[in-house]
Amino acid sequence: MTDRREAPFAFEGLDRVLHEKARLGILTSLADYREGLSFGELRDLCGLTDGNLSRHVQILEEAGLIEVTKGFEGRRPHTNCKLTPEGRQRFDDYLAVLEQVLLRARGDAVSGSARPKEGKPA
Amino acid sequence: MNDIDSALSDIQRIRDRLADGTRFEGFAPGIVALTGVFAFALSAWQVHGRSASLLAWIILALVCALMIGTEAIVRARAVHRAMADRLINSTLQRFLPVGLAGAIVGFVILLQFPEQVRLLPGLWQLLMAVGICAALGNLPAAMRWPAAFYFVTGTISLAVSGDALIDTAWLMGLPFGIGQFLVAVTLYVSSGRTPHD
Repeated sequence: MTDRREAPFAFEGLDRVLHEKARLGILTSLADYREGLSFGELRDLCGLTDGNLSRHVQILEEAGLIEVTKGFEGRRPHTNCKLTPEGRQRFDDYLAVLEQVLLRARGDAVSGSARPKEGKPA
Repeated sequence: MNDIDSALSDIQRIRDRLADGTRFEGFAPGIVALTGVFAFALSAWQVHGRSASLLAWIILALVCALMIGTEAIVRARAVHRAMADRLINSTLQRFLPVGLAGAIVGFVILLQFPEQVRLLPGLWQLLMAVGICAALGNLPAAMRWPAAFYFVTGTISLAVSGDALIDTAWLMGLPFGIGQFLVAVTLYVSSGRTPHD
């Protein structure tokens, strides 16, 4: 097993299920709405097609990150998606790792800008 | 603001929103129930010993707050992982002003108006109700019932505070004993559910 100290850029905490553009969009949209969002609202917010959204919602549901409730609003079928408590927790864990990556990048950028450019004298 | 700063600020905003809608799982029902037992025990001891020292209640409140607080921090770190500090801070920010108000009211009445000391149990119960309501965003929705209980008992305690036949110890022990037990049962029954279940 690789020691974490030996591989500081392994970013083990970046959960593969979450680390995908469309799924990040879905989770970020749902983070703002405690009661969840309808399928149509999610589709509009994330700019996805019905088929694409369905596929990503299914992946997130199978991973236990979101809860999908199917019912009716009047006579029309209504699908509601909301983050599960575990989903909130795992998304926050993911964001915490992402934050560390960015902080490290910013630190490197600051120290990098102070460093003389390669091939040129200081 | 460069791209990294802007991304960091977006992440902060999303994490704040996630914490806002997350139920704080730090409060241990067992410890909360134990504080109710302490309240009963102290009132029984005071009634039996014909003592009505409210200072003992202030000390008990501090001990209980320390017990609940310490357990909450330990549990939150285990359960909420990266979100723990945010949830602890937001819960503290909601409870602390009410706790501070209770302490100030207690000390001012004890030091300056000791003849009004019988008002304190009712005032503290009302403040307890306000504290629970303030933190409802991170607590199970059913916690509104213990809050309502404290509102009712606070009103009754204030209304009967002029009746010298009712022992001050019972005005404290009975409502807080039952109230803390209600809080513990609500926390236990709602464990694992979302804040708005």
